[in-house]
Amino acid sequence: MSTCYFAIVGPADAPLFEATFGVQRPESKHLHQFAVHAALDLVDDAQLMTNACFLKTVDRYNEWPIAAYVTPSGARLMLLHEAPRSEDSLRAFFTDCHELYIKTLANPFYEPGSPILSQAFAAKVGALAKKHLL
Amino acid sequence: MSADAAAAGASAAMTQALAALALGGKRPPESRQVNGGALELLLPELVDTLIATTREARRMAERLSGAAADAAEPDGPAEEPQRRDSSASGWHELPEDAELMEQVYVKLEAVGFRVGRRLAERLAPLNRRLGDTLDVVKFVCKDLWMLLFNRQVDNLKTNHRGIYVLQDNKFKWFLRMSGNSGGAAAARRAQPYIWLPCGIIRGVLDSFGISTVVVAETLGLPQCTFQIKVVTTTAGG
Repeated sequence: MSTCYFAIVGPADAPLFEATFGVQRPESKHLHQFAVHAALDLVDDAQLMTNACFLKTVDRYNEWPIAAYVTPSGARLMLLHEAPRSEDSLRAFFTDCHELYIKTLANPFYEPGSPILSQAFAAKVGALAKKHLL
Repeated sequence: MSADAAAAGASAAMTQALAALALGGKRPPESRQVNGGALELLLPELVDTLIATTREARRMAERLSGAAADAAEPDGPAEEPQRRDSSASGWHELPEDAELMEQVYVKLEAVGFRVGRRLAERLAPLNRRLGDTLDVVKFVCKDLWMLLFNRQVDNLKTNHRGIYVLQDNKFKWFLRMSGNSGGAAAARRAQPYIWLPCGIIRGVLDSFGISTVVVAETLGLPQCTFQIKVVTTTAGG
């Protein structure tokens, strides 16, 4: 299973959640984070082009495509994946993560804009990654 | 502080109820239904509880800071039993204290704001808002009102320069309110109950990145008007 790096960036550009799926090489973790956050500008540009939530691939870092999904309230779900994936599986993964995010927002103990520290959330995201991203 | 905890608990309960309504409409297999009538009954209690707890909190604060507050106390305890007795006749006036009502306004609006923020993400359809304020306001008029009150706003007016006026002629929460002393007094008495929807509207707009000031007034139950003023902030992301 090749590596994927998933991050949720809030509307104020603060990172809310990040996770790595697959084999994690310690030296590439910082690289993943850097690449994804650098792609945020391109996400903003792509947002203006289309009305949809799923922005497909917004950037490539070397050969790694970065896909993005924007929620109505301005949070961005970003996924950096090392091997090419089908658009449908990306879309399904993002949609399910969006639903998880909505449920997190509904939690009155969660302050929108603060980091998501829930273990249950992390576990569920991991399960979704296994399901959609192989 | 118990008052804040009550407010947080109230916003949680309300979000859960409204969210269950939303989920029930959109995703049938796991839908959980919430009785809309129960929600309507809950909301006046929320307002009254907040008024009572705010009053208590102020009294505690005054007692702790001691001194001249004692002179103002005597009518306080006497008022409580009277409130309970008069509940049978049904009509008791709002507390006269303007500062108290100001604090209640802030709290109620904050509760509504939190609810609105959390609701917006759930309600928004998957085709994203295009940052056009008018679209978002229309969404508020149609979808939000449909969720909260099972009907749409009757009239939307705008001056295209950041002011939107929503007019609802049969505001659901006001349908059950009436008073003996006539239209104007009843309208004034109903003021606190309108602060909560103001906060909800503001929360929904804020979650789309539009910061606003929402003011509501009612000229005669069950009609009410919400005025949304867009506050232009400095250009940002």
